[in-house]
Amino acid sequence: MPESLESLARAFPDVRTSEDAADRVAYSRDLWPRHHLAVRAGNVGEHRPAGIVWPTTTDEVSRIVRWAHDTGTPIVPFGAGSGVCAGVLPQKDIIVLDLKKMTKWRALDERARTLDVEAGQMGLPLEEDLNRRGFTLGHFPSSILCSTVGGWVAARSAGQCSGMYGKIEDMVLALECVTGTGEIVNLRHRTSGPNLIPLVIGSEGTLAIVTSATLRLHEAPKTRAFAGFSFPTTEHGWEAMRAMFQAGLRPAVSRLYDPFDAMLARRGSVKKDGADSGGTPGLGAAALRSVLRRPGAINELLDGAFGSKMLGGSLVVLIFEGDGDGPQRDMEQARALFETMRAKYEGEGPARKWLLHRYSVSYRQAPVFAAGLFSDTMEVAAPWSKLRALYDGVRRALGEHVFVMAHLSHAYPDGCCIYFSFAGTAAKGKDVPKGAGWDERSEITYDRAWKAAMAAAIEAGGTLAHHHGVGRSKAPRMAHELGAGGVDVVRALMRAFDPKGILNPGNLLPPPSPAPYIDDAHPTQIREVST
Amino acid sequence: MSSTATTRTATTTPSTADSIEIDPQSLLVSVPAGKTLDALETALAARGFTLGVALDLAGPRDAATGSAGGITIGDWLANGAPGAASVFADPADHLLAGLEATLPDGQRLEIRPGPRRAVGPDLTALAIGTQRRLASVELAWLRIHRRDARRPAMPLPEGVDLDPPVSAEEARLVDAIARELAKR
Repeated sequence: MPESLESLARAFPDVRTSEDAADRVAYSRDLWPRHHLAVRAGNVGEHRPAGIVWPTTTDEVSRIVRWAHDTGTPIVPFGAGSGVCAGVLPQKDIIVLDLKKMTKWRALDERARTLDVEAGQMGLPLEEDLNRRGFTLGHFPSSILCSTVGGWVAARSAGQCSGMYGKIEDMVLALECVTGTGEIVNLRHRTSGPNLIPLVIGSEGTLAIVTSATLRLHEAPKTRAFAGFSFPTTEHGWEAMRAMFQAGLRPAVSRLYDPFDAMLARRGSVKKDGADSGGTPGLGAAALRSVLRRPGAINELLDGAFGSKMLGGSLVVLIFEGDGDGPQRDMEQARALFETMRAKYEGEGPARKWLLHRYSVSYRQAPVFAAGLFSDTMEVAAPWSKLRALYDGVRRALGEHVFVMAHLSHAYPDGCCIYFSFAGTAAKGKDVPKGAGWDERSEITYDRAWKAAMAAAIEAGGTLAHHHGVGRSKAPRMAHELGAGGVDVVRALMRAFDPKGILNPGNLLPPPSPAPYIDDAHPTQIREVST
Repeated sequence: MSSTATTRTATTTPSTADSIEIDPQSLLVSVPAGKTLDALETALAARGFTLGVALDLAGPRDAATGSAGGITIGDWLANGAPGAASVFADPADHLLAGLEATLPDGQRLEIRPGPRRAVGPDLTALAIGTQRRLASVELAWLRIHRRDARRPAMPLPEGVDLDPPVSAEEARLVDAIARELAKR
């Protein structure tokens, strides 16, 4: 048994721990797609922790953290492991603290419409249990089947209905958490005094371990209105979304697909029973690998006016929800507005179909990797006035290396998130090391695409992440996002909450010099922190 | 709230300089901290916009003119932006999109305007309602509204306390943050 886990198990004989090899492999990573490349190359569980501990109460979390503080043992809090930015990357001296044994509803106040729920509660059962009582949280991330309340808070999660209910940070009234000294603190939302909740939300396990959250609830919707609209171009679509949000309309769902993504949505690559059709969009793996060797030309063709016309233009899917005829009246107002902006009404079908298959897309990634390719997503955001530059800049940067498509599914009165999906294959050319294998060359393409896209996002005045977070994958770029002053502030916050730096060390910001990180490349970052 | 958590360190001197910058596409305005709320509102009204703040609730009336909204933007944000709609009333909207601020050690912090982000802690929280202990706003990017636009409202039920007293452990954390920011 590793020394740190042995010491922990001795100190807390009543708390479940594990040093089992299978458990350590299972907790060695999150769902960062670059991990998938490593796994495909045979590097399974490269970053195994010393062990895992499953506390069942806040008091146990507090005592474990106090022990870790006293012994200088690093701890990584863990929800359901569905993060996609390497927010979990243990080393052999690290203890993973899994919160999924903490699932209690501590207080449901039906009059105030609030719920105090423990951090390990999984997303879908939470929403289903609320629905049975006539409520909704209004938070529907694509990961809802495999994510927890604590994970949502840690990563500043967004759900599919953010247009009406906001992101997770718009739902939290109070947090109970354990700081790096083991102190239990209860943070409350406050309008005329210091409000520390926004500092802990999004801190990705580096400031404190969230043990429960008091969340705002809404009455479950009784009625919905559905519609789909096509537009000549993606820009026509987002201008319509901007006008809608700035007119005060708040659709629960508003999703704009670029022409290629819209073509897939219209064709329906998802079967009627909800199962994914598998594979990649209608093409054989070998053909797709071949096509993806020249992503620049394909992207250019499809993104231009010809491609847009050939594919049928962009598509906006809208769903309003609420009570009585309110949703239908809002939809009529949105439709009237859209039809002054070159929209063509496509009936209720696209929106109803989207709702039926709302979580299916997450299951398309595995076949892509199995086919020898890779895929990933990048969610950037900017004010509306910078959206064109952000869209063009990131699309062009990614498009040099990978095939790219986009949709816009989180809009606000002052700006919007662009969600780029991309797929790529192994790099080739003179600058690729001789003898490099397929997966190693795939990593080269992957890193080049991310490096170029992150630089383009910053250059355009956008933000690097809207709801996936930073993890270790974007940590080297945080100085570009926040400036040197902002990075120093985050470090100061880390010292204030966690003086010994035991909470998820190396996450969110690269460690101060001497650092194993280099400015903007993934491989060195990952390999050198491995011990 | 503990006395250490509320100590005001300075106020912003009112400025009459009309140096606001409106981004009409994004419905944002950048405004220096020294501008008063009513001066900003007057400037916005001339262009068909409003901040949508209840000026009567925003702070003390101007001593010279007696007008509501005589408080500077810097002081108003340091006080927690009283008179602004609750953040829970329209979850898709927000008041402060970005800022430039000075930190206790004199360093500058710049948060570019953005609708939402997930890049670590929301550092704008250092500047709102903290009486300048953690950051002092120099320039703010605020959300504005067309005067004729509908304002969605999903208020919390009455009885939800959005202004509870600061607990001892919260005050200790604020003190710790202030110490760390000052000694960098």
